[in-house]
Amino acid sequence: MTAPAPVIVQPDAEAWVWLNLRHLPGVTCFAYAAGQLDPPWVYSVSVQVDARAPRRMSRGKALARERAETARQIICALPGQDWPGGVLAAVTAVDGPWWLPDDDGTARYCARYDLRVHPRRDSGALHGRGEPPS
Amino acid sequence: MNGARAEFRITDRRAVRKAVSPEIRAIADGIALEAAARAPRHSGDLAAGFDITPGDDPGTWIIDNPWHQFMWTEFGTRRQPARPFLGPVLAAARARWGR
Repeated sequence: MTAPAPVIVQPDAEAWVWLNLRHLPGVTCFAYAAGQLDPPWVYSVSVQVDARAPRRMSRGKALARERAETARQIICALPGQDWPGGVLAAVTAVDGPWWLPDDDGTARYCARYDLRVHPRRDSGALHGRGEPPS
Repeated sequence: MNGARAEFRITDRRAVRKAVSPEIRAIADGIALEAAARAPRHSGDLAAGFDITPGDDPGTWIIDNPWHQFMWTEFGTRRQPARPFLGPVLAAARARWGR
C-alpha cells in the first residue's frame, strides 16, 4: 500500500508582487509561468513587469525607464520581507528592463523575473507528509 | 611517489565549450521545438519561423524568430494580452539546467 502524495499549497507570488507594485503609475505585472521544483514545496514563478508612460509626453521614454527601474528595485528587495502568504526566497532578473514600445507607440519598458517561493512552515500549507523548511 | 609533480599546459582555452556545444545545441533544439508547439496558430508562420544559429563563442546557440509580430504576441501590448509561448519554455529550461 502506498501513501498518497502530499498536496502542497502554492503561495500566490503574483499577488504579492502586484501588492508591492500597484502604487506605481503605468506599471502592470502578471505571472507567465509557474512550476513545482525539487524539493516539492518550492515553486518557481516567472513574472513579467511592464512600465509605461503616455505617448503625448515629450520624455515618455525616460519616464517609462524610470518606472521600470523603480519596479525592479522593489522586486529585487522582496526576499526577506515579511509576507504572510509565504516565503519569497530569491528573485532573479532574467530579462530587462528593456525598450519594447506598444504597437501604438506607447512608451514601454518590459522586464521578466524568476521568483523562488515556498509556503511558510507555520501556514499548514501541507496536506500529507513532509514539511517545508523554515 | 614523494616529490612527484605533473605540469599541464592549456593549449585551447575554448576546448570545454567546444566539447559541450553539441549538447547545448540539442537543448536549443528542444527549446525551439517546444516553443513552436506552444505558439498561437493562425497562419502557422510564427511556429514555423524558429531558427537556430551558432553564436560568436563556441557553445553558444541563438534561437531566433523573424516573424514580425513575435514580440507583441509573446509580450502583449496595451491593446492585446500577452500570449507567452517562449517564456514558459525558457523558465522551465532555467529550472532544469540552471541559468
